[in-house]
Amino acid sequence: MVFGRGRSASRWIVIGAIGAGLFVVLFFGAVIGIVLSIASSDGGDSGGVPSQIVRSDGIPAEYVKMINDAANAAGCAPLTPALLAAQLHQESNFNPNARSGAGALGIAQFLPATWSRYGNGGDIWDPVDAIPAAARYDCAVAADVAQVPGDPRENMLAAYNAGPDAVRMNAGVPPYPETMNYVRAILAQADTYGDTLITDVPGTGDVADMLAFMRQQVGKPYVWGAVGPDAWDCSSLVQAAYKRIGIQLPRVTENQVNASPHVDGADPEVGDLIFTVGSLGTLTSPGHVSMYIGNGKVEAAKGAQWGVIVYDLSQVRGVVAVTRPLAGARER
Amino acid sequence: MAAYCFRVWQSYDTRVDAGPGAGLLAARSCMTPTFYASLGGGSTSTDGAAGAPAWLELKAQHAYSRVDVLAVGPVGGVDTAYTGRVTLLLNVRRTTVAGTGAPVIGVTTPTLTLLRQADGGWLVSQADLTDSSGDAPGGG
Repeated sequence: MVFGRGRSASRWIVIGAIGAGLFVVLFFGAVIGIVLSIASSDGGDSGGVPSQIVRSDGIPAEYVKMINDAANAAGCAPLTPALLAAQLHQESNFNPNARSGAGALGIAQFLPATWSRYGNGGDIWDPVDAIPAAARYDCAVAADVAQVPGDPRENMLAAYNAGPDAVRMNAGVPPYPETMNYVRAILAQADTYGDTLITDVPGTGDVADMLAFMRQQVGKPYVWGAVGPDAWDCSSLVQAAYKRIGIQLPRVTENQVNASPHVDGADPEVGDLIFTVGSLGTLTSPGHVSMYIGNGKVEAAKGAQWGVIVYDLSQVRGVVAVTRPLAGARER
Repeated sequence: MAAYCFRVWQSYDTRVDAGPGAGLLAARSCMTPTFYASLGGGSTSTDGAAGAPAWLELKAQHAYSRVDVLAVGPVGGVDTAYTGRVTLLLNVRRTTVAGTGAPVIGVTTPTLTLLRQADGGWLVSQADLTDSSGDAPGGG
């Protein structure tokens, strides 16, 4: 996943120093509170690099290039071609003549009032105009909710569906069933389509860069739900590593396991992801992921008591799947 | 206080609420002014959200959604005696009814950060409603 634009989670780190005396008298020394606001831009490193849909099955052929171009031209990291395609699928099933009971029109289901602002004078029924307008509107609402915590893609889609105010008021996706389903369905469909960078198929240099990033994370704490850069959980670590080389993985293990080609794992290659049941997962929905980094070693944000560590592949038990994200990229 | 605040903020009832901002307005007194403003509280555009299609659709279905906070616990080892700040993990059950459909029940685990005020009370200053359930701690 790309969380580049507008992801600015603020973190507050407080360091308290307590001086202790001897015997029964305790002297509490000065308490030094150092509060650091860490603006986590989360890179945004693929925001300016064009990408394209990987698997276009189900997308009318005449729209594929249009969607790729529109998403790339819109120029905001949360919006990728696969996401835009999934959105059009959800909105109208790619029907340029779609008309909803609420008055939404065309392939992108614009309300006329919204079209007047984002349609650039085009024809709401013409996908040539409507698809780029949808991309522009996506990026506009993404900017509107850029300060809202959470996944920028989820917030952007929720804002498209329910309006930016509703996203702001709820500090994320509003608890409206339709909106929650809208976001969930589009993200799932986008994962099916998939994105890849056009000019940046990973090679040896890219893998080395990813491994260097992994090495830099060793020793950092494991925090469930953390997405870096100072703490990770197992899935956010590998997600961030692959993001550096332009490969987008879903956020959580149960989705990551289905996002890349599976291999048998008998002879792992560098970058392979090894999924295990973990403490809360199941055979079909693994709860833990680690990365094979070569020389018989794996690296993972293993758990709260370990943090990010490197350990022997032989110690990995309960493997339920091994995936090869790099293979998916090379095939393209 | 955290449970009350979250319930008031996040519950809605289109049958009686003036708009989607009703819950936020009702929870105003338990939020820091900065946090309230960051949520768009008090802005005219937020009031205008009552006309947003998603809300109108919910209203047409007479939808309502009640939040129950089942449990609250502190996250991490923050020493509130010194920092005046605590982050709480909430176990939340949301029951939503729309139209004649059966109630839809969901469970999430948001976090709220509270700051101690000069008068000794606590106000919500931050919230993370991201639902990361399904991503288990590593054991393997």
